[in-house]
Amino acid sequence: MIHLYGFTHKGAPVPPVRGLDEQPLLAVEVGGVAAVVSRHAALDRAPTRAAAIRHGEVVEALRAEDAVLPVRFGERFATTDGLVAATSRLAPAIVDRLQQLRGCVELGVRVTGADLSLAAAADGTSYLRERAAALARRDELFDRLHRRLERLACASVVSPGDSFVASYLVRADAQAAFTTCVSEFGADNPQLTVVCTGPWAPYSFATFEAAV
Amino acid sequence: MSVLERPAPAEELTLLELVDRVLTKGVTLTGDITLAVADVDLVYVGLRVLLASVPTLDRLRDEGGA
Repeated sequence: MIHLYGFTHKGAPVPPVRGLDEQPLLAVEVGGVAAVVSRHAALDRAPTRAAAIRHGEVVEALRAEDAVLPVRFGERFATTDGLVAATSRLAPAIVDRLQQLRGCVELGVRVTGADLSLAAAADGTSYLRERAAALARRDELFDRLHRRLERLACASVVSPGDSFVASYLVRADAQAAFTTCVSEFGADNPQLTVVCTGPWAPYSFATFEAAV
Repeated sequence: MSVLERPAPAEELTLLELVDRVLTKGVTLTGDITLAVADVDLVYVGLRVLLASVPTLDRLRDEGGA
């Protein structure tokens, strides 16, 4: 069984870290792409969080060496031929994407705690009006943050939901300015919990459709 | 274990964010991956709890240092 972690350029160094079940990493070259994998006699059908973390640690080690296109946890192949067949069709697009992502990192931003509590309303209509106004204030706050961060990023993905959860693709030399911007927003809005994480490999931008 | 007993919330948050990315993002070659991760529900519960606890931890730290 073969577990796939990510793609790098052909010839990129394979980091000296271990994969799942302490197995060594190997590079399987397909076209101009190296698929970084580990081989296993068997793999758990229901892996644990620790296995997911190890997968992520391998991807981060790859990022430290060169541009990497992370693969979602769970891509497994019975044989090398199966891996090669699945990869070869996409190899040219993977090479292009790696080139676009080179020098970029992903930063995650989460904001929670926007106050939607309302004073006692006189009637249902007033309640709905006040709630709509509170939601609009929250959305304006989130939009303001996103507009600031967007200017410092190459691309972004904002997840739908009541909290602000977004990922930004940022050039390495813009990372300090980005985190400063997040910190300033947090200082200006002490009622909110503002969390910035990363740098990560570009998980949220590891698609062939998204434009950088 | 309560949230306040966690030894390193920043490190834990980092791991939770990493697991979230590993399980839900990245290239897929073979269509939707439906591999079940045994303790994934705990990951998401933990993330919500931890995020909610960050201001509380900061406040307690400030009060403790005052």
